[in-house]
Amino acid sequence: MDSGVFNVLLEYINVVFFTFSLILFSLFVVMGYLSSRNSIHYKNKNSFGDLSKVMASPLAPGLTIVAPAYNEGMNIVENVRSLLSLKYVNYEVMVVNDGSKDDTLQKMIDAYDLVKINQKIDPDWKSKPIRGIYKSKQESFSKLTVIDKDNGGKSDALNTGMYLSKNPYVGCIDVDCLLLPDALLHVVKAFFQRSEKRVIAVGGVIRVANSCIINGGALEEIRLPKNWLAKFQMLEYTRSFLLGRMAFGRLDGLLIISGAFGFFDREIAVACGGYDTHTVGEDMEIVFRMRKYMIENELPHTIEYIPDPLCWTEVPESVKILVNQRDRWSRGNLETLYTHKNMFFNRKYGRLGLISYPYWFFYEWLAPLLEFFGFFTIILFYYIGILNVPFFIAITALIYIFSIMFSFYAILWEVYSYNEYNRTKDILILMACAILEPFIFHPIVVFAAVRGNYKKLFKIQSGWGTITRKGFAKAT
Amino acid sequence: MNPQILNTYFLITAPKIHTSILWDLTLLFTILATVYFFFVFYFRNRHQKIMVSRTALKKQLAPMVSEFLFYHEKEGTKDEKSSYINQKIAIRELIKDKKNRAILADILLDLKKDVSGDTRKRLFQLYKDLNLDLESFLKLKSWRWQRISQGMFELTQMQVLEAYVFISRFINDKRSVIRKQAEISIVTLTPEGISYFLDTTTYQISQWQQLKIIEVLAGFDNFQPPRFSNWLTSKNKHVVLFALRLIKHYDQNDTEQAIIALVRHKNDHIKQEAISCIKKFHFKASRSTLKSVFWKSSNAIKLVILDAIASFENEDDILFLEEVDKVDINFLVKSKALSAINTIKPGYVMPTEGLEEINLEASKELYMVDEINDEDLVVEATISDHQDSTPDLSPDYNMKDTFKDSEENFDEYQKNKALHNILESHEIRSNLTDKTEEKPKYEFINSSYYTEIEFFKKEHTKVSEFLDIKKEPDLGLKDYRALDFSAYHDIKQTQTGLNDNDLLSKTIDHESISTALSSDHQSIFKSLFEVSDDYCKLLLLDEILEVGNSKELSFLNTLHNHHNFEIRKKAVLIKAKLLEKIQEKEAPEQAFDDKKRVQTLKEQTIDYEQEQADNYRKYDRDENITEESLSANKELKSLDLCFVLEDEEVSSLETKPFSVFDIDFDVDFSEDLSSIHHFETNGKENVLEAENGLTKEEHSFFHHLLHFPSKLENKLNG
Repeated sequence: MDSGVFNVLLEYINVVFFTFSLILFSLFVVMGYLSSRNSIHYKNKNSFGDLSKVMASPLAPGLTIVAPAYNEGMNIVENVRSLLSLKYVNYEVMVVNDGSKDDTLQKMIDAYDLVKINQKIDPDWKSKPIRGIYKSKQESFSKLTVIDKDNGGKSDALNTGMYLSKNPYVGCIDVDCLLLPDALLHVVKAFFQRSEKRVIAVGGVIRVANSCIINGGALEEIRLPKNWLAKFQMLEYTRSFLLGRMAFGRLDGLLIISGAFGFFDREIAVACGGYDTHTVGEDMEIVFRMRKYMIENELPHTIEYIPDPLCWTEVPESVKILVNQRDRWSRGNLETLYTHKNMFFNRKYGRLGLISYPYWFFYEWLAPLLEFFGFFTIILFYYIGILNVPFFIAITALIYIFSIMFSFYAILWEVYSYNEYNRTKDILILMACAILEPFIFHPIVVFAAVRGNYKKLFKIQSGWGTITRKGFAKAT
Repeated sequence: MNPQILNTYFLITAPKIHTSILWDLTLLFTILATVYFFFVFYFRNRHQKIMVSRTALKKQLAPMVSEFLFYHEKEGTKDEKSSYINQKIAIRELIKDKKNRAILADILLDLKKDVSGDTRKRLFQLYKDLNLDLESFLKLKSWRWQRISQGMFELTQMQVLEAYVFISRFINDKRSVIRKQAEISIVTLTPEGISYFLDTTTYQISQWQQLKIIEVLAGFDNFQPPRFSNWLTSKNKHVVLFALRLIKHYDQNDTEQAIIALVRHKNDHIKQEAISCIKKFHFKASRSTLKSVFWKSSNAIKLVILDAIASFENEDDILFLEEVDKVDINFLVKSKALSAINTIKPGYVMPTEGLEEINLEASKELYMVDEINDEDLVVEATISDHQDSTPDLSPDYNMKDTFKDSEENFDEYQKNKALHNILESHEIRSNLTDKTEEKPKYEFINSSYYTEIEFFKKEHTKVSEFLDIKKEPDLGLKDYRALDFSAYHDIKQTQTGLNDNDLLSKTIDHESISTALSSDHQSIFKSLFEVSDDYCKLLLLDEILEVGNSKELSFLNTLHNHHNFEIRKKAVLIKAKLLEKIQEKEAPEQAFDDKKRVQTLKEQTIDYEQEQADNYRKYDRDENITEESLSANKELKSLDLCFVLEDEEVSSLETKPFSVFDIDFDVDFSEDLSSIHHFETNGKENVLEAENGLTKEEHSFFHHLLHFPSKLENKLNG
């Protein structure tokens, strides 16, 4: 090959990297702006008024919290107790024991005095067989329903709960999540406050509960996680939920609702066929499908996002579990993007097709792959002596500084809007995480994403993996 | 190089990226990051500072506010008055500062939640006296939506009625936050606000807003709601919807026609709410409208319609509901339709799916043959036993051949049944051997068995006491002995090595007989029940109604103490319905034939038993029989009653075939005739409520039955 043409190609690689980076920077800047506006709007709108007045209203809609449980025997009783103590007049907690191999069901039966009841089930309903439906004999636990079924995965369990629920709204949460007492009031408000559009789903912020003090199912003191991996994840969650989701919420372009805290209009969710049991990214997939369903049926709709810290969860504290989790996320991401590939730059889907889907494609799916292969290409170029070292250093510094700046911006908004971590030490630690993240945490995430894509590409069987929870009761 | 090549080279040459641009951008982002760094602490510190200063100012202002609220000018001394005036001056000085004014307004707003009555009124007055309301009024002039909303909120909370006019102007503001706050405010300020709001609003009313307004209205003392039906004709569909909800909430049921008309509304929410009102107010006139809109409605509406139709409980709707079940494809709708039918007419629809495959016709036959087999087993056993003990008995009495065909068909069932009886006997033996009052250890022994046996024993003791005292040898004991033998033989077959003369074995005999007899009166559903879960039990209860007869009644009685409430409840219901059904006394021909067959068997059995009894009398006189065994046998003598009855009354009941084997031994002789619950004839249920009138024959039968002891006594006394 003519060395001149080769040099031109190399220069084009620089241009591609530079352009890609600039687009991402622009996207993040716009995102920062939109999320700031949305946060301020939300804060102003909700700065007065009392939600609790509506708590006991006869018009309060029914809501079912579906919590799948698989081998959760260690914390199930405490977690369910926490779910039963929410402030809302008309809700039901439906725990779906997804064929646990431990004593999850027995513990619930013993703790809540459950007895098997009879309920007619649609023979055509596609989910793993239901072994039994349990209700408590005690009036104080009348809100609790336990479904015992064969193991079929999280999606199958959620579908079962969704099907058996009688209420118009269904909340799909992780059973080990801690919901704040007034969480459901916020959710109902989000569902009810629109009149021109139908709110088909409501999502919220997930906060990191590692090291927080939790007593009797209530969050007593918020603390920064002690584990460094958890600290990095906390920063990541802050950035993602306070900036990313808020911005897409402002654009009405949300394409994902966290599986740990997502509420759905049951009618629409069931009409779409519920969760897809063939993907590990079911929380993202169902939102894609629901939105497509509404658009294709020309039904005005929206998805609401609540930035208030209502749901707290434990994040992995070991690299292995973290990698498994992110591996799964990237597989789910790829599966969902592939399933709904017709949305890609499709005008029919409006902002979803023109902004949200491409963002997910380029930034969430493609960026880690580019980073991974880019890294090895740089090493290769360096060895064969064709690396444009000054350009490489400049663009690396630019991206690095930008990532720090963006993380600082997220911390700023956290302090400005919620001020949960207001101790100087905590803020400095978070900032240190922002500086170290590209060297320590980010490579792990990139590796997991590549592994997930690799598994998916070569069809290597891999399920959900397991997360060993410490349990809130032990979190100090 | 020619220009064309140059041009091509230029096109493929990548645009030059100056590294300096990258460094400049890096610098820019570094500066931004640094700014953010400081801003983080700035906001944190400012937030903390505001908190601290507000807390301090609140501490300073709170006592002053308390003094203003709880000070009474007439009661205060001169010094107190002086102090009060000084504080008023001081607070006026303080609130000249804008921040202080805001904090004071906050304090008063907070305080409002904690006070009531006169204190609250003084609080509102204080707010005005300090001209804080002017501050709120000024906010209404702001261009920022959040300030306007805040102003309206404050004026509303402090009940500044003068603000009503100003706020009402925002009722149709295009900014939703302002509009929504204005709606809440005018409703809060005066109860008439709701009328104004419904009259004038042109925008949507979100459900959340509706919820909040209803909460506000609920907070008014002695609120006289306007006739919300006035707004059912509004052009704003949201107003119509809200009016319907208010109508339902305030029980304004005087607008039947308008509400029924709204069932035909295109909007599903309105339709649903109208149906909800119809259901609540029980507007039966809407039935035809509901049915007419049904087929074009969405599934959600269909469910609501079916719910409403069910609530009317009109049997004329069953046809429509059946059609829904047949035509509609949605499971929930079909299920709801069936549920509605059962609500209207309980038990009309029976479960058909998910049941075990049992040939009901066969079951009926089985049921008949079961009786025969039970008797057959007894007779057969008796013969065999007799062959052992009384070799002179003719083998021709083996009744088994009579029902050979039936037995072939139900051979398996017979085996199981025999095994079941044996196991029961075995269990009872174990219990008796232990001579304890413990509950049976084996699960297959239902507690009802025990109850029956105990009761049986008790009942027989009453008669046997009398019979024993009189030592009358010829009182139909033959039959009892025959049965005693038969059950004994049953046990003997399975428990080899058990000595005939053994006291224990005699005891077993006694209990076996009881079991054998009680099994005659035992529901076929009993065994199914024992192996079923609660859901299946409920289904079985439905089946009992379908195929059951009076044998099921005693079984249903045992379910009255079932742990499952639903089963308990359903058992009572099914029992009542079964009684009704039995009362109808529709005896099909086939059943009559069966009766005849059984009757023939009975007659043959009686003849056979008569001979058996003669043999037994020999056996009875046998010196080998111990006193203990006799006393054990004596306990069973109430069965004599049956046979004596048969001897005595069979001729009078000839017109209505009757089997003594089917007598319900639950009959309480101590009670009056009116308390007699039911009896059976020849396996065909014929349960009669005494109060509803008995036939002459039946009355005669019961009369005999009740007077039997005295008659017998007279006979015995010569």
